[in-house]
Amino acid sequence: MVDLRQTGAIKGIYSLIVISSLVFCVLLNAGCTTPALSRDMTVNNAVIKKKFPYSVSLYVQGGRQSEVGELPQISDEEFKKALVSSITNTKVFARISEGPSDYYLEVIIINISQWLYQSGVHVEIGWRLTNKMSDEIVWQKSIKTSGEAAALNKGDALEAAIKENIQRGLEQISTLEL
Amino acid sequence: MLKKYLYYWLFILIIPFISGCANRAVAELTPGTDLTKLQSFYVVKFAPDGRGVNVLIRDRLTEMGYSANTGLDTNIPDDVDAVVTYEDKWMWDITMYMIELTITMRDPKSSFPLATGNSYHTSLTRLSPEEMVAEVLTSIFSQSGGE
Repeated sequence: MVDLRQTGAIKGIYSLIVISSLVFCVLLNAGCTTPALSRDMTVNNAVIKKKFPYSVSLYVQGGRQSEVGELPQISDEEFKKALVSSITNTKVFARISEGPSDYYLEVIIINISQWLYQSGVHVEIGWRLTNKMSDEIVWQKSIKTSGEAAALNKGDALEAAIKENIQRGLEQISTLEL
Repeated sequence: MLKKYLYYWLFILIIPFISGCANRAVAELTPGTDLTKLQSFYVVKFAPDGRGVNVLIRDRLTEMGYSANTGLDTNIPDDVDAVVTYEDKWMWDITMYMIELTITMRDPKSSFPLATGNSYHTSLTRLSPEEMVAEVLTSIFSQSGGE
């Protein structure tokens, strides 16, 4: 009786399966742990109704570093960088201040909802704008957005969802009477 | 020969477990939030939840001495101090278990977050749904020294 396991064809198939599986696992892990990057979340074009001649200081919360093997996350640092660049590009506020400012914008990531085998990522972010002179909250809202990307490319989907959220937030601020 | 490939397969199977052996229990308060002022809560049922996690959250809040009710997001009472939303994720490993629970307390009018807590336990350190709910709520309220 011929032992099929010893034949070249079967060995080749085994090797192919093993190598394919290893490549799949490496790609899967790489796709899962790639964090969101600010440059891909920066808004360049938005429907800005009003550009305000005021300064704004920013506070972000809710982000965290991606852990090994985890679905992609966004750090507070990258999120803040994306916000700063987006405000600068769209000119909703004249200046971003690290110190005293006319307005204080709090942007808090409430939830990032994603599953490994679904291409979509859902993001909810809370926005709150406070007039620093009067200490009055002039606007606060929770905005939900979604991002889609090719299968397993969660990083791109997360970046798309956050970028759209930033865009919608800045567009809504530009409609306020400040 | 087969033994050799068995090792390869075991290695491949172990990769996700090595990378996924993480537990987490975190909570954050939005600056300016005073949780001690919140005494009444309305837990909004998460639409895909078919296991009654909303009831577990309501019961735990009641045990902690708060006034709590639960229902759909179309029936939110006007007089609650905070609305509670959550998202539960489940995984299968021999049996189904809750791998992650996120609970968010919100301003009833604007939905702006007041506090968020999250617990994540993989299979080896799995907790019951009741324990997950208790862990997240304890994390949240411990941020203000409330529990």
